[in-house]
Amino acid sequence: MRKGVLEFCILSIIKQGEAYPSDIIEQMRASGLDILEGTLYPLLTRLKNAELLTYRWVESNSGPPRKYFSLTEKGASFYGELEATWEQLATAVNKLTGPQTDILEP
Amino acid sequence: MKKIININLSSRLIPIEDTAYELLKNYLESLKRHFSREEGGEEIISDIESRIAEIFQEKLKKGAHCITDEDVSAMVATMGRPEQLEEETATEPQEKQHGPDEQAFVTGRRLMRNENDKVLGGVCSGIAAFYRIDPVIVRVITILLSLAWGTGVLVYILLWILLPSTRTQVNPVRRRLYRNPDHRVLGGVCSGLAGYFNLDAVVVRLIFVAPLFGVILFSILRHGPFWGIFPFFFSLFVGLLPTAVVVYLVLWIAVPKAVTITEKLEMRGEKVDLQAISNARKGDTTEKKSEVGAGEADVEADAAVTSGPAASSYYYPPRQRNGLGEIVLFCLKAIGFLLLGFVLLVLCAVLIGLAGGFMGASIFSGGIFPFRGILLHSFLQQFLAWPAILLTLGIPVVAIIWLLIRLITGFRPKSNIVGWTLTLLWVAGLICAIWLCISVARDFQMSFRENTPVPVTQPSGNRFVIRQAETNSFIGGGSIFGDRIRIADDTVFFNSVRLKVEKSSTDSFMVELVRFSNGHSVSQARMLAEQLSYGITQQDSVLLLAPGYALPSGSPFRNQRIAVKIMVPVGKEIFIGDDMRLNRWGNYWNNDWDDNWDRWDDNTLYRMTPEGLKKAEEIEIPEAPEQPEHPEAPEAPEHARKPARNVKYHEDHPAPPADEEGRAEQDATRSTRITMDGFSETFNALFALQD
Repeated sequence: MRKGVLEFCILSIIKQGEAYPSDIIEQMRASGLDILEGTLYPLLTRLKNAELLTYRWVESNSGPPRKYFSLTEKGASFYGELEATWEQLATAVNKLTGPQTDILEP
Repeated sequence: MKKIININLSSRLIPIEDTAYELLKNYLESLKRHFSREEGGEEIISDIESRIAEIFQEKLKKGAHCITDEDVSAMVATMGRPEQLEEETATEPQEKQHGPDEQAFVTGRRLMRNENDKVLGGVCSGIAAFYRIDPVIVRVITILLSLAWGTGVLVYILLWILLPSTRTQVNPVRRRLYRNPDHRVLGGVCSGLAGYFNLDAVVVRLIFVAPLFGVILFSILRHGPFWGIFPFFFSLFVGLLPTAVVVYLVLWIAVPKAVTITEKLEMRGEKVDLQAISNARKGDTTEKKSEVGAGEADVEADAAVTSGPAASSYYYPPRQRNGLGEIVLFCLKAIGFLLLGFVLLVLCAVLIGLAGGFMGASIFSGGIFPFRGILLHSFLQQFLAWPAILLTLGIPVVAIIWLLIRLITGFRPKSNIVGWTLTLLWVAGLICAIWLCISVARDFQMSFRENTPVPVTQPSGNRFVIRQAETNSFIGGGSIFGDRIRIADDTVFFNSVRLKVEKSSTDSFMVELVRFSNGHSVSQARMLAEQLSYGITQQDSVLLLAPGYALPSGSPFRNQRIAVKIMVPVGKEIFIGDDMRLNRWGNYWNNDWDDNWDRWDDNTLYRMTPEGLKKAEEIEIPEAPEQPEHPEAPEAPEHARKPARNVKYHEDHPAPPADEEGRAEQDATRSTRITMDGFSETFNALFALQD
């Protein structure tokens, strides 16, 4: 169902700055998108393997170092494409599902 | 009461209840299983482990003493079970990242090589995915095909070259073929197959062992009366036996062992989720408990292995853990079991052959078993014979069959009553056998020999011709020791008579019949010896010897023997007929009362000289200087020049009576003698001539 949408969301969160998986989950929850945490890790790995993301180890005060993800250049341009597609899609869907008069009148 | 153990999860120390630990372990296993086929699977797992450790540590910071079952369940709910993750993630990104070929592979089922799950080129696993079966099965079939003149290797290489490869495909099959280590006899192959095909393990084992049982069964039936219709099945089973062994060994080597609970569930074709894992865990609490309860050090070591990037090798798909070393170990094990099986089989065959032979002979050839009436004479011996043979030979067969049945059915009796009973019975049989042997040996301890003169008329031409009497009846029946002893009804015939030629102390021919017997006492030996009758017939200068002799009905066999002694005066000749061939009148009883027995040639003329018996041809030249004092000597060359077969016998020569007095000195004067130990394959009824 959410094909590509989840990636889009993750990329957009990471785009705002380096992010740690738990942060990403938190942010998504905060905006009402409730996903299973287990879903996130494979997605991140796949995006990383597709060279859209990169990460660095950051020491944490407790336990092992954490992975902080950031966008690569390729990732940034891919995000641009996704954004454009999304805008297009959103507009289209909004038009369709919005008040009928907007389309019919002109 | 619950035990708390410490585990090291992503380099963090987590105190956890042992039940919760089990849940956690199983959850991680299911995740590993889920991601094992994906690129970067290990990384995903270590990320998730790291996150789980974080969640647990938060719990602990909030004041919990340890992680409980509930905590694990809550964590699993947050993280999601493998099957939930699959729904959300599996198809989605793949379509984005991969080209049309790969999509076609997933949706349109194209035959491709599978790069993600490969041993060599991923051909087998590609084929397996195409037909939606377990790659292991395809691999096994390939190996078996390779054994057939390398067909499998050829096909594999062809497909390796021809098929494109893919990385994306995840085998949709849930049920997989594993070896079952929990219910195994040898390698758990049968048990695993049973799980795969949803059969009872006993059924699969029976299929594998059927050829062996078939061979054994038909080996027994071989002695039966309906054998005529069975040879086909017998050779069928004999042929199937190595096939079953090879198939088993290939499966043993090629099929991975189900180690984790997930693998065991897959083996049985059950859906792998946390619920099932949890149930399975409860199912084999005993095994798991022993593992967990083995000590915290073990558990900690175990847990440490499951976590952290250092232990990344743990995440390889299960079959890759079958390293070369393990296969070599399997081979060694297999060879060991093969040898063991071979030894058992041979033992079984030998025992069955022996028992079957005795039984077969006794049941189907009319008599009780051959020697019984003849060898065993007292009631005690008859009484001991059956248990001695049945128990000493039969019990091991029964024991081997019992062992096989136990192995096949996996039946483990609590007390080993059967084993002890069998051992006791066998020992009893052994005692009977020893007792019987001693008893029979005592019947042989005394011996008696009697020489009886046989009246003969002196042959014309100073020459005796020895021939075998014509056989006018043939007696069939079981024969033992080649053809030397024949058994029919109650009678035993011995085709074993000896001929012995000595120097006569007088100037006339003499014939003596020597009868010998053992017995438990001298009087019995004497009685048995005197009961022997043997036929010697004289037709002028021809002496006809019967080829054998019979034990009188009712006499026990006590090593009775017969020899014919012919004493030839110096200067006279004896011709051994061409029907007295050594291969028939063999030197069988040659360790008798006289160790100085020579072999003679048939169809040969011999002449008695003062030095002993010599071939007439050999005497020819040296005779004159050697024996100047004998008036008969000049005649010898004349006789010798004649071909042996064409020797003429003068029939008008008067026969002087046998000289009985000279016999006493014969031993002192003899130098060389020619003997004959004879038997004949055909045998006539024996006619008493003297006694």
